Amino acid sequence: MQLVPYDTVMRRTLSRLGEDYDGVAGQGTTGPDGQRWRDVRDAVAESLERWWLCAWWPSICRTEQRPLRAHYSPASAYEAGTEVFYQPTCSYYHAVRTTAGAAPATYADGEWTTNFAYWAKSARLYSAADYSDTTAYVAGDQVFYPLTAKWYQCHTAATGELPTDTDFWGELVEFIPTLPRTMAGYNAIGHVRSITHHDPRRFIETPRVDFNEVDTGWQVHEWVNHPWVTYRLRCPRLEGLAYDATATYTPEATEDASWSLPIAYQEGIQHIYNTTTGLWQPVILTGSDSEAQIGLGPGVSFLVAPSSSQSISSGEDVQFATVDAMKTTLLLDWARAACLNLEAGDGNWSYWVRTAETGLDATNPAIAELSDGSFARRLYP
Amino acid sequence: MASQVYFNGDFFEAAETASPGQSPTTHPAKWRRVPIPRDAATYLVAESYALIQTSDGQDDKARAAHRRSQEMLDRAIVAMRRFNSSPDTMTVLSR
Repeated sequence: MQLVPYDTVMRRTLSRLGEDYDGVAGQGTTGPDGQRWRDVRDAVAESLERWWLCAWWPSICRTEQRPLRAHYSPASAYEAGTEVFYQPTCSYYHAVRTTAGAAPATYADGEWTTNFAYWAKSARLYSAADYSDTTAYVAGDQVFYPLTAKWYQCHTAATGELPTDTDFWGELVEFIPTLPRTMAGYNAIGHVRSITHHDPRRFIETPRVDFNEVDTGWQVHEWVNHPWVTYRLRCPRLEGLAYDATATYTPEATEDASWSLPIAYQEGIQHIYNTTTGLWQPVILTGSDSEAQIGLGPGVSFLVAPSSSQSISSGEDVQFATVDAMKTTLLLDWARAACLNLEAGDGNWSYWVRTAETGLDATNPAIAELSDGSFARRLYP
Repeated sequence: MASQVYFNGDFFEAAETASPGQSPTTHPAKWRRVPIPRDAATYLVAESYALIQTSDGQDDKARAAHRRSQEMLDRAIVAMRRFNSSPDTMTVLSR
């Protein structure tokens, strides 16, 4: 998205009104908090909302693959009933008891197995026999308990312990396929234009999935694990006052944030938001591994080694480099940042980005611990 | 506590808690610039002018200004759709 400074809009508006910019905007430390300055700000904010909502402007629309729940994070603690999306299995799970650091599924002998000690695989509907107090249940067993008319899953071996005993059982959560308006790490959605099973930019004929708007987002009418969503970004608000160097500023809650966004797509090219420059910078992934190319902007730190492997392993000596200038041409050295997801076995294209997060679980196929003790996350184009 | 500031000609939202003195210049990682699309700028100026004329009680000027900004918007939408060969909605008028 090409941006224009707010001051440019304000200057031109004041010029049309025949008013003096310096008189309204203030100079030096006086700050622009006068009533006229607020009048202009509010008028620009209202105009922006009108423009934003009157059409599907390409510059404010995005197409991207988004899960229906937040990604599982090994650094987070989860209460019983919390739902997550687990990228390696492309499935949804919910905690059956409090957990932190235990992945929803583990990989062994070529297949993924749900970690029944802490998690249940989510479903819209469950089917299980009635609970019996003489049956010996093991982790993963599911029952229906007529007294509460609910389904439960055993997380700790139990014989005779009622399903309502949380020391042994966790209640199963019926999954409602709803696309949330906001999710950490994703753009806040203003309005959804379409939801599809496949990338509509590559598969133009991919059928659209029906949906309807609800208070928490958009309810999807058929099962789609990891939908592609074409949407309009949420219209930003203009409501701030002049920066006060003596004040503390705190971010809004995710649900209220206009702009939460490290990753986005634009015109078929994935972009990363550079918080240093305030610019969207393109990341281009194309073709097979030998043809892959990546364009990077200044300040973005990306994996550039190993040179021969298609995937990296925890503890492997990998290198990152910080780009000092915009690069959009084919750079074979950078091609190595695009890795086939062989480790997770799903064959999806992915790439690794260094993260400032600490304490991550390096056994997660989407996370790798680097030789300097920092971590990298696998992202998917 | 506030989360958005006006600073050096733009609005910024706090991405993380910014302590006193941590401005968008000194601690850019703690702030996100609020985006104003360049392709909206001309309309924003025209419509903002019209809205301010309205609030100033200049009704005649405001009406004319609103009409011009709406025409400007209509032209922009038509131009955009011209480059979109497969519009997904169509309005059919009949008597």
